[in-house]
Amino acid sequence: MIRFIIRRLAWGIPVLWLVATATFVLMHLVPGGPFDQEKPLPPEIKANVDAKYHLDQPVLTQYLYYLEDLLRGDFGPSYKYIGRSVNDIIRDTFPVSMQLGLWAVLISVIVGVGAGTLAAARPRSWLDHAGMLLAMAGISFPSFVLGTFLIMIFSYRVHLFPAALWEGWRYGVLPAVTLALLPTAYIARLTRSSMLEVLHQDFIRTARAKGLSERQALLKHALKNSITPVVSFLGPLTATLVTGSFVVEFIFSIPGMGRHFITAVTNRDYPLIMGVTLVYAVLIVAANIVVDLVYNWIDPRMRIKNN
Amino acid sequence: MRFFRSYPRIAISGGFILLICLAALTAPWLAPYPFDLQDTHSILQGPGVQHWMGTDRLGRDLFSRLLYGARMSLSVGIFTAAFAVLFGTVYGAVSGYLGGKMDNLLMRFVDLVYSLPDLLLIILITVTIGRGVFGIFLALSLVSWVTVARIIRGEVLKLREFSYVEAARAVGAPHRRILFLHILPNTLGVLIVTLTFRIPAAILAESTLSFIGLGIAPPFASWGSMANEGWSAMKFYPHLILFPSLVLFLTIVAFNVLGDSLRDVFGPERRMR
Repeated sequence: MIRFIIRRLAWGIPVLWLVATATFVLMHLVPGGPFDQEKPLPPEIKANVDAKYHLDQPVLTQYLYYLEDLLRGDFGPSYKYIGRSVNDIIRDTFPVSMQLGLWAVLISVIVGVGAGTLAAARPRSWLDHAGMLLAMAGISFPSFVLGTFLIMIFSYRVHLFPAALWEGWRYGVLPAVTLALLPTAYIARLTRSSMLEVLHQDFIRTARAKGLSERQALLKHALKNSITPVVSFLGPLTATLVTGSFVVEFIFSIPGMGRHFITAVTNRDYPLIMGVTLVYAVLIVAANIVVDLVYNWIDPRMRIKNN
Repeated sequence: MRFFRSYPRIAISGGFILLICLAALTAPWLAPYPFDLQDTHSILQGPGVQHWMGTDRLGRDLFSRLLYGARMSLSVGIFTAAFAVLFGTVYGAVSGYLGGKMDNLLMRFVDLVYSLPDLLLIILITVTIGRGVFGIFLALSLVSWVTVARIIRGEVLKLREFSYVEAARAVGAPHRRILFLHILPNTLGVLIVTLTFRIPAAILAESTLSFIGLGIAPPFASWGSMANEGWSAMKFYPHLILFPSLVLFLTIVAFNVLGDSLRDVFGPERRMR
């Protein structure tokens, strides 16, 4: 088991190095430096600033400085937020995004697995058709459209939930629902098709034959076996939520990492762009390792294969 | 008529897509006003007789802009999907056919790109190469081919074990011939389905990008950028965001339903992505 974890970690490190290098290269391909302004700095001051940030060194040396800083966990200063380092900004915004993301995971797994199971329990019933129609709408509904509609209904018509900001649980409801829509629909479809497959297998017939109620057969035997595709979707889900958070935090003006990333792009705040990108990469590598572990734990066949 | 009866879902969704494409193609003749005509006497009007869907804050006719926006959204979707399918197919097919170490290496790269959030990559690429229409098209293309490569590789891995491939090899057909003339034509069904799913994915990505203000910039308009313009005024002028959102949603649903139905027609494969 421990060897397995170490092997997964050893896979994650080159990935992170690759992402770090790729962002460095991308950001250095951009024409113009961070201190180019409409009114140029006096050349002496420019030289000082460049020396401070090692911008007078060859690119390779800059790259080594950059990697060294990264190893110490230092993402450097922000170019646009005066007096704040990228670390400060990430420390402030990460918990907000994380909270929002966890809410969305919770909603999508519970509602998605529930709806998918219900639909599979009565295939071709009105419940199944209605559920799958909703799921189809769900995967096609752009999250910014849903967000807007939710605000129009629940903030402007019925003053139930606030339309923006982040100051308590009431502020989290609409964004979490918006963020959860796509994964919920996706998990519902995934659960349904996997459940339908499992329900045709012999051990379910055995379970029914030995007199278990349909409910027990479904919840005790079928659900456990049909959950594996959902678990392996939790890796890509992290990526989906990151993408979603850009939009949701933008719409609801939530002070999270996604919104700061968008602002950083508009401001060309390169250290912040690179820092946030790396945090996302770490998050995704970690999520994939966790998914592998959970997979290992729930599916004995995987355990044998890996050891 | 018989086609409609046997495949109602394909007929309806395909018909809708055809309609939207036609509207986009004939936009200059169909649109009642030029898309950038600013009529200062009728600013922010609701839907009415003169302007079917109302006007925006510069007095531009929303219906006309929606028609022109269709050109942008659809062409980004179709061209990106076409590139993704062409490149992804060749990459995935070569990887699957070669197998072994080479396959492992090629797929590691695909897995890496696949595991990162696509919008993050697209934004990073547009930061580097610029945010023009071309930059967005390029960024979307560079990211979206990996999905296709994975699917086609899986297909080729399966197909290359078939006995007709062995037969072709036995009569001394060169690898290129086996791959492109014997194996790939058999992936056509999967390819069409994949193409149908890539188009709405690209349209969605572009509109999302434009909505958060990092995509298509004025004077050009896409449905996403129109929704962005309408968003700031949605409390008082909801029609500005309702119409582009609705068209966007219907178009994406149509493509997804079409893809789902085509998959049922072309084979029992139950792929979700």
